[in-house]
Amino acid sequence: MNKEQAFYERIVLVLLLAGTAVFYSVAMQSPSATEGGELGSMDFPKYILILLGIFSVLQLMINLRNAKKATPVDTLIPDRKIILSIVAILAYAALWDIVGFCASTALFLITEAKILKRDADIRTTVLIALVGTAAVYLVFGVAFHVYLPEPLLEYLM
Amino acid sequence: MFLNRHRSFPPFRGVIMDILATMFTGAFATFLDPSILLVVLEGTVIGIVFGALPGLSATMGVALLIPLTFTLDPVKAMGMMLGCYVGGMAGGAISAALLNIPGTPSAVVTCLDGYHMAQKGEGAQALGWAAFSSGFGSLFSWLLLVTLSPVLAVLCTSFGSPEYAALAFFGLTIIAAVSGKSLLKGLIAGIIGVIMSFIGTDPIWGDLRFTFGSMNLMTGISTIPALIGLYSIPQIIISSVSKGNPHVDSKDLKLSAFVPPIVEMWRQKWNIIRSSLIGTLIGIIPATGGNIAAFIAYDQTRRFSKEPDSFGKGNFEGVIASEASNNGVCGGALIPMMTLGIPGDSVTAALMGGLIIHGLRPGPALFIESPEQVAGIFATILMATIFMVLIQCVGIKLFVRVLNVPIYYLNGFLVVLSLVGSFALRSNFFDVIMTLCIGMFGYLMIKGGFPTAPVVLGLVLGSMFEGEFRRALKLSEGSLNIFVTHPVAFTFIAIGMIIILHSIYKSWKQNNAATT
Repeated sequence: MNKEQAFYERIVLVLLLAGTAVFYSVAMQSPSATEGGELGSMDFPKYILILLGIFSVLQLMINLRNAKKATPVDTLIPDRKIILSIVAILAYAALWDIVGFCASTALFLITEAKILKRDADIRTTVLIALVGTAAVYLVFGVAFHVYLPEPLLEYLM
Repeated sequence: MFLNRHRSFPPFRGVIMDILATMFTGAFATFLDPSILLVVLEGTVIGIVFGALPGLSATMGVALLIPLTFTLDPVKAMGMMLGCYVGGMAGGAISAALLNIPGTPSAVVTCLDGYHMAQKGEGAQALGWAAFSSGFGSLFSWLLLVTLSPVLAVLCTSFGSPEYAALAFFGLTIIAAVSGKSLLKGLIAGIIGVIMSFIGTDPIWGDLRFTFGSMNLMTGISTIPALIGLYSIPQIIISSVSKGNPHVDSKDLKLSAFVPPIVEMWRQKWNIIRSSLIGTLIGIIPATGGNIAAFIAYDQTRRFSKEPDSFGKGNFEGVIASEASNNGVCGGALIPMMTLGIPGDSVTAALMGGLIIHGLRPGPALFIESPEQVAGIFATILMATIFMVLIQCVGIKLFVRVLNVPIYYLNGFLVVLSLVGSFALRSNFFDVIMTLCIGMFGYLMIKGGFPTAPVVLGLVLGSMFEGEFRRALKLSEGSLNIFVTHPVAFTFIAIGMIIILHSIYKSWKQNNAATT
């Protein structure tokens, strides 16, 4: 295992422990209907959450014990393309309801291509983005009758 | 077959012979009708496309086809929908093998080995094994459907809460098989999936659990957004720094590279038969599905394999197990649907709707009142199976071209398809948010060396296990003896415990070998 994997493993385990604590506290506070000696609605989740907590702590202990043995890596910071791609994906989803599906899809396809390959030919990229957007809209929006948000078009019309 | 042996009915044997003769002529007529061949072909193509695209599914395809088939006669209508079903179950393997993104939930297991085969330049072989295994699985379950459906339908009604809980427990123990190197990480991943299944409404009391005041969470986390989030989004992010997929020159791709050698198919006969049988039997049990069948078949194949450690690294036997079993579910799920009117999975529930709309009432009387149409429907399943394999043989050159699309264009389209796919389920933007949140966490999990297949298994089986376990305890007034006194339940639990103990022992042995 290298230091990068160990680092991400620790992040996941910390998030899991935090999540377990939150969920357990919600389970304790929520009403749990039951009758007689039967399991209430929150009893089973509590047992499973305890199990997750125990396993997460065990794995964290193994992680910390093996930390020194992990092979070093150049950097723990993710590649620039990964960070920009994640930002682009999140921005794309956020823009659906603002500029509409078609405009945000075309913009995203162009942006993502440029993030992954800076010197991608812009004319080809724009053409592929426009044709691809039209194809997706025709297949899903028209053929399958999926309502794809177009707030700008609705405002103009 | 389902006749009441009353003295006022004609002689039993004579009626059966009449029904069989009518069914034979009906099936023969179906095969000779070009218009039926055409609609089944259309349905199969649509099914393969729906299966291959992440976010779409065979259920969606069948549901969309129902209104389009209003004007067709019952056999053609059912033929089109069944073609979509068979094609949809097989189509998921295409994106699973080529892109590591399962097109359908039942293709999750195909990713484990199919994708590694494609990365080694064996994409055509992976697709070939997937197509032919799917064909064998469908054919096997079709044979059982045609010959033994009334007998096998008894299995469907013999399953109660203890059996369902035990089956779900057995399915969850397969987490050990798909955990990879670390059993503990696999268990953690499986428990994450089980906890995700708790979100929504309590199956017994109806309390809202972990909804945090959100109406969108009242129905829980759907499998499709979770699947896209766990497989599609992390894979897209990871591949943004890769050099791209190995280039495949489709001009050089010959059919011989796609069609598995007959000798090798013969060597894999027990794997194919076992996986198809598992798929058929799981399909008969209502509310299960291709996902569970694929995991169980994969685990069993790995145990019987001479090279169990090569599973998850590009072993074609894993692809065979997954695809033969998930297509074996097709015929299996139709058995309770047609004989008893009980749908085996969500797709057969939609198919049942199609049958009723066309004036055919599923159940015991169907075989007596409409034997010609039943025979026609059975014949269309066989047609769809043959078409499904042929279409994939013909389309292989087109499918592998996906690998040649530059990664900087392909990634963008995959994101768009993934988010539209998760949105299309309920036209609810919340599903897109859920996909992205699960996707980001899934990315962290993969970077941290956690397997994601157990999360899917936990999500699918968690609510079934909890609900049926609690119902079983209610029936037995809190006593666990109910799982001992029901032989089928006891068998599943015993096998599951053996799997757990064996996995712990194996993990301990591996750790010891690593430290010495």
